[in-house]
Amino acid sequence: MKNLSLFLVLLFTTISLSAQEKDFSSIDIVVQSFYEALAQDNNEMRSQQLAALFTKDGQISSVNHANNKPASIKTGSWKTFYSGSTSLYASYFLSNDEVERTVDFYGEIASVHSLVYQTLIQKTSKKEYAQLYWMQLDLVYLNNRWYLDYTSWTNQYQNVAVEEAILSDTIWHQLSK
Amino acid sequence: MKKQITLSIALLSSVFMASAQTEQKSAVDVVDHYFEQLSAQSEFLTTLFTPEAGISTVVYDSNGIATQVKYSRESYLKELQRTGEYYNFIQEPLVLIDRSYGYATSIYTSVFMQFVSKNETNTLKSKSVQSFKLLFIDGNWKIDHLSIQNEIPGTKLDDFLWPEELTASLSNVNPVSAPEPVVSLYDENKIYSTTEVDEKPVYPGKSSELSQLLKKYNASDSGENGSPFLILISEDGGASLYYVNDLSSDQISRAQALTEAMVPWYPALKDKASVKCKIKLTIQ
Repeated sequence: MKNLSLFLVLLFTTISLSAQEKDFSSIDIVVQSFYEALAQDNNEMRSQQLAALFTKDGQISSVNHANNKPASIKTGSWKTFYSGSTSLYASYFLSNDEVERTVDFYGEIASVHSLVYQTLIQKTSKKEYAQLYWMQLDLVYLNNRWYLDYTSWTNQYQNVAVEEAILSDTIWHQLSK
Repeated sequence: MKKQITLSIALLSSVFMASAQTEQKSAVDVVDHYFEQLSAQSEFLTTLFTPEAGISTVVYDSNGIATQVKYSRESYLKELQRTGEYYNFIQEPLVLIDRSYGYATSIYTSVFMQFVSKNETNTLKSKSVQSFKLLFIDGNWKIDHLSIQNEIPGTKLDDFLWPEELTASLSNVNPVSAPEPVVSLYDENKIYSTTEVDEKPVYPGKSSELSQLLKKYNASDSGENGSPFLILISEDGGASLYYVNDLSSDQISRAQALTEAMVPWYPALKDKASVKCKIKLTIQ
């Protein structure tokens, strides 16, 4: 038992170090790592991976649309999300498959939009649920790497294609002077 | 599917309403409202944000290293009110890239900014890129996050965010990315950089006089150890603050005082004529 505990401690330490030492100098790696972190089943490791990705006050918000009733919206820090989501992870395995991405950036900020197929597998019944999400990620480049500063996800509802979210409308605003 | 529309403020309220929210202001309306309310710096501004909203700005330290300053909606209002003690400021969105689905909207926009000194007629003009994230909560669109990146000298905004059709009238006051056509004769309206003129502006007297003046305000013309800003030396040698980038309100005040303390310069020369010229300085 002692050996097992030591093994787990070493495992956590190794994973923690790898998360911290990962090269987050590209937006792509940060985005991929975020989806990996969301799919991480182990609470402690998920917490460490999210901590390595987010700024100190980084936010996560979620919009869960349901048919014929107002959407359920949650806002707060990534830490709030982490502590509030452990029950979901207790019941389901979660995986993310990114299918499309757009990036706008200037200077030290970047705004990423992506479409992600999220799959939940009920741990006991093995029943599978899949849904397409619009993910929004705002990043900031500090100390030679990108950090997540804000993320949100929005699920598809009532057969309204969430792919529409990726398409942009451009509005020109006449200056007053 | 992309739409490109030129709209007046009045027309903005009629578009991008989610079908379920036809009675409420659209997300674009709320962003418009935000910019209108900035100059008032009233408590009302905070009601446009969610309680947990974060406002993130990137600033640069004296070594040019980027750091993030994060505000809550309340602390952001206080910072605006502090700046408002010295300046009337106006911000206007220029090109808004809108993405929306159901109860969530993203607006990525270029912004034209003007800071009018309360003591002077001098107006500082600048640009920024801002990323808004909005959520539809309790019947209203609220800003859940705002990222602000002020213009970086030498790093041009993408053309689609700063289209000539909308910015032509600003080209004479455009501090960084104004079109710079190749001309053989000087352009009396153009603001030249020091590398474009035949003779750079010269501060009168011994070189130590300018050094002492700069030192008094913790500024430097050596390009090191400080936050960069630009001053404009006009054809008649008058100095004025031109572009402040990410200076704090205290730095802006000192930079303003510095330019006011300067005696008239010998102006820059181009094709044997005196021309406007911008000079880069740094301030601690």
